[in-house]
Order: sequence, then structure tokens, then C-alpha cells
Amino acid sequence: MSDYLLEMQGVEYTYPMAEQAAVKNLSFRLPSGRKTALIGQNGCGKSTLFLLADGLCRPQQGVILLDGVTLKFDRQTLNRWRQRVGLVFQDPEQQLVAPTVESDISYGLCNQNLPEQEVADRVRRTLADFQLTELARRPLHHLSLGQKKRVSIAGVMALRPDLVLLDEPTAYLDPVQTRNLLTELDNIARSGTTLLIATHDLDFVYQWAEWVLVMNNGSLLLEGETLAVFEQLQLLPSFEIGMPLIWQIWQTLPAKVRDDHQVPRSIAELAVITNLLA
Amino acid sequence: MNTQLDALAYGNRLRTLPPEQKLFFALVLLVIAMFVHPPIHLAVGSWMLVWTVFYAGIPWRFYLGMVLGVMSFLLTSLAAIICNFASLAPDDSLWSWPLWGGQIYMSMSALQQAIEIFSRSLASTATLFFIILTVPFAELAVVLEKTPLPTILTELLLLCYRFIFLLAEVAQSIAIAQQSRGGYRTRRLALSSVSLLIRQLIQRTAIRYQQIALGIKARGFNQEFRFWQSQPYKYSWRYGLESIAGCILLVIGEIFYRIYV
Ligand SMILES: Nc1ncnc2c1ncn2[C@@H]1O[C@H](COP(=O)(O)OP(=O)(O)OP(=O)(O)O)[C@@H](O)[C@H]1O
Ligand SMILES: [Mg+2]
Repeated sequence: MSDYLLEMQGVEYTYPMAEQAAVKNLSFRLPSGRKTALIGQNGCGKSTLFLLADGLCRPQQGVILLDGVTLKFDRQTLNRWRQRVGLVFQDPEQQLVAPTVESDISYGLCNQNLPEQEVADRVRRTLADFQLTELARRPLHHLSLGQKKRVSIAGVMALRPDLVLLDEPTAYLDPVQTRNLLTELDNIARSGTTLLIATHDLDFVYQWAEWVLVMNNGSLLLEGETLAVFEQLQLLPSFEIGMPLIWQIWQTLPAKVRDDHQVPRSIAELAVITNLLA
Repeated sequence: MNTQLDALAYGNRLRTLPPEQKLFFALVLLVIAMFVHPPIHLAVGSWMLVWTVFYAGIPWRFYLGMVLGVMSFLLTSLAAIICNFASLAPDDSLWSWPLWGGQIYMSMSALQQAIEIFSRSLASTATLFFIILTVPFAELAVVLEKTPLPTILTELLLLCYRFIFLLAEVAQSIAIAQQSRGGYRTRRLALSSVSLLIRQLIQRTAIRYQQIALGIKARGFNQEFRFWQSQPYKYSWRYGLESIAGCILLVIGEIFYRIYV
């Protein structure tokens, strides 16, 4: 396995009938086994990048690699590719196909021709991991949006892909479910799965991500370790996506304090420093 | 498809009974209803009502609404059977009325026939309602899969089932958006709102279709729609015994009817 799981080189994609390319000259490398985040303004091409990475859109230019192997668009390669790369769409309706929660989670597993007992076991475990056991036999159209979102994530995680692309996973979730999801995502990350999350929640990115990609206008603006990326973002006042709250508070502290301490990455770390001041 | 009906099917108290047990029971009752006389039909109908309303816990108002809906439709078509028109009413007519130089009349045999049709329809409707209200569609499809029907058929049924609700949701959300902005205040506004709704529905459905096609591909679509479902059903002796005993009683009742009436 190479150090970089997913890689794009000079990728360009224009939607059919669209005037402008949604993604152009896009190059980046995603380190394997890390918690990564993808940020950028509305319409900068995050969701398009995900479609490209799952082989659902065919780029007009450039190459996409997984573990150093180039994506080709024949059925066999695509099938194998999609077994390794899981995609959770922004809108859960888009990927829910079965009538009930448990049967939907089984859908991807059945597609892999696993034996029935294995399917059943994995469905049950996934239901438990995502606190969906009680909803198992409910029809999807009786669920709330946040519940559907959890089902759509669970359906992908049940397949145990190497790389999971999550488009706005915390959208529609209440604070408790968001926390549960993050715990679950951490468990998944610890098992060696690479996660790439597209989100607008910079506070989440700041505290959770180890690696950050920043997109602007269809291409990559920055990539790197989380702290390094935010440091560079601060030097780009013309590019507005805001800054994480912890970071903003940190910036208001006296320069001397900032010199003496490492930049805090969580509320707890920030609290330790501010308590020392008081 | 009615969302409330679906919700009831998923929430009813007989949900844990194996769908096969319920389906087989209903099938036997349908066969019985085909061969018996009106009093036994009524017995079948009332027995099904007990199962649906009391055992399964379907709200009686909802049930009554469904039954009345079907019955009113049936009664109007029965009127055509009961009333005949001829230049001269036959001797066995119960009632006649001169009209346009002929006579409109109601004959004994036609009335008997109408009663027969009505009571049989009542019995079979009650049996069908029992199935519709106690077996969720997805579980029905699982049973269908065990029959020799081609799997593609059951797969398509399941997909349609999912998309019907998707469509209904889209239509509903557009309608609510229109309502909340006063789109149905006057009759003229309502008319144009409805036409807008239909156009939007078609457009959005096309987009939805494309999106879902992507979603299905992303999940590794493999030329087939296959799902797995748990089947935590419990065969119930209590209900099993009641259904067997009841069916035997119905048949005995019919035999007595034929002998004595
Ligand atoms: N099906 C489509 N046809 C044409 N253009 C599209 C289509 N989908 C997206 N676009 C355009 O491509 C660009 C990138 O869209 P994309 O959905 O990737 O943005 P995004 O970064 O995910 O935005 P958001 O943060 O709002 O989710 C946008 O300008 C958008 O208008
Ligand atoms: Mg998006």
C-alpha cells in the first residue's frame, strides 16, 4: 500500500450542458489511514469531486488513482473500485433504495454476493453500531431526514470500504446524533479506514481532521496538516470561508501567551490556557 | 398508495405473525367465500372485521371509511343489475314502474343475484382489507419471492413501492410550499398552482431519477436488486387454532344452510 490512497492529477469535469467546468485542473493527494476534511464555498466542486472519486462521473481530462492504480471505466474495474470506495451522498434520498431500514443496509452487501448468514450478521452489527436497531424494520418513508441520513451512512459503512467519502454527514443531525456519529466515525477511522468528509462546519474540521483539503472554484487551493492549512488560510484574507471558533479566540489572546503555548486543538485545551491566564 | 394504510400495516398488532400464516388464512377464506351462500358471507365478513379491528388494532373509523368507500361503489353498480327495463315486466317482478312506453322493473331473481354479489364482495373485500392492513408490502414481496413468480417482477414491485412514496413526498412538499405562500387562496390560483405542481413534479422526477441512478451505481449495482430482511415472526397457536376452527365452522354452517334452506 502506498502512503497516498487517493490521488487526482489535472482532473477536469464539466457537467453535460453546463457552461463552466465544475472542477478544473484539480490535483491532490490523500494520505491513507487519516481523518481528512474537504472544505470550500458553496458550489466550489466538493460534491463533484466525490462523484469523480467514485467513478460516477467520467473526467474529460486528468487521471484518478487509488493506491497508485489508475481508474478505468470498464465495468469490472468500476465494480472493484466501488467496493473499495464508499460514497455517502449529501441527500440521503439519493441512495436509499430498499423498502425498509435493514433491507437497505443489506443492499450493498447483497451486491457483493456475500453468503446470507454473513449479510445478516453484518446488517445486525451495523444496525447496532449506528443505533438503528429499533428502526430496523421500519419503512424508509416513515423516517425523519436525520434518521435517513444515518441509514445512508450505515449502508455504506456495512461494506467496510478502504476509503469513505462523506458529503455533509452531520447535516440534519441533532447534537446528540452528531456526537454519536463522530464517535462511530472515530471507531471506523481507528480500524484503518480513510475518511474524507466534505463539510462547512469548520469547528468540526478543526477539532476532528488530521488533514485538510481546501477547494476554490473547482480546483485545489490548499492541502496539508490541519493547523498548517488554517495558518495559511489566515494569510489569504481574500478567500472567505471563516475560521474555527477556537482559532478565533486563540488569536485574541496576547502574543506572549501564544508564543508560550501550542495552538489549542480542542475546547479543553483552550480552557487550560485561559484558566492559566486568570 | 395511501401512506396511512402503509403506516397501519407496519404498526398493526398482528405484524409479528408470519405473513405466510396470514396470507394462507386469507386465501382459504377467499375460496370459502366463492362457494358459500350470503349468510356465510356475512359471517366471513364479520369474522374478518374482528381480526382487523380487534386483533390487529386497526382504528375502526379508518376501517369503516375503507369499507364504505368500496360498498358505495359496489351499490351503484348493483343498481344496474337490480333494475331492468322491458316493454312488459315479467310475472315474478316485485315492483314495476311505467316509463317511456315500457316498464322499469325489479325481478326476484335479479334481487337474489344482487344480494349474492353484494355479500360475496363484502366477504372478499373484508378479507383483502385484512391482508392490506396487516401485511406490509415489503413482507408481501418476500412471500412472493418464494413463489415461482419471476424475481424481476418482485424486484420491480419493491422498487416501485419505494419510488411511489418518493414521488408522493415530492408532490406533498411542493403543495405545502405553494400553500404556505397562498397558492390555493382562490379557485383560479388553485388551478394554476396545480398545473405548476404537475409540471414541477415531472421535472423534479426526471432529476430525481438521474440522482437515484447515480446512488444505485455508487452502491455497487449488480444487474439485480437484492435485499435481505430479517424474519422475526412467531407462529401463533392461538391465532392458528382460531383460524382453523373458524374455517371448519364456516364450512359446517354452509352444509347446514344447503340442507335446511
Ligand atoms: N448536475 C449538474 N449539472 C450542471 N451543473 C452542476 C450540476 N451539479 C453541480 N453543478 C455545478 O457544478 C459546480 C460545483 O457543484 P458541487 O455540487 O460540486 O458544489 P459543492 O462544493 O458540493 O457545493 P455545496 O457546498 O453547496 O454542496 C456548481 O457551480 C454547480 O452549479
Ligand atoms: Mg455539495
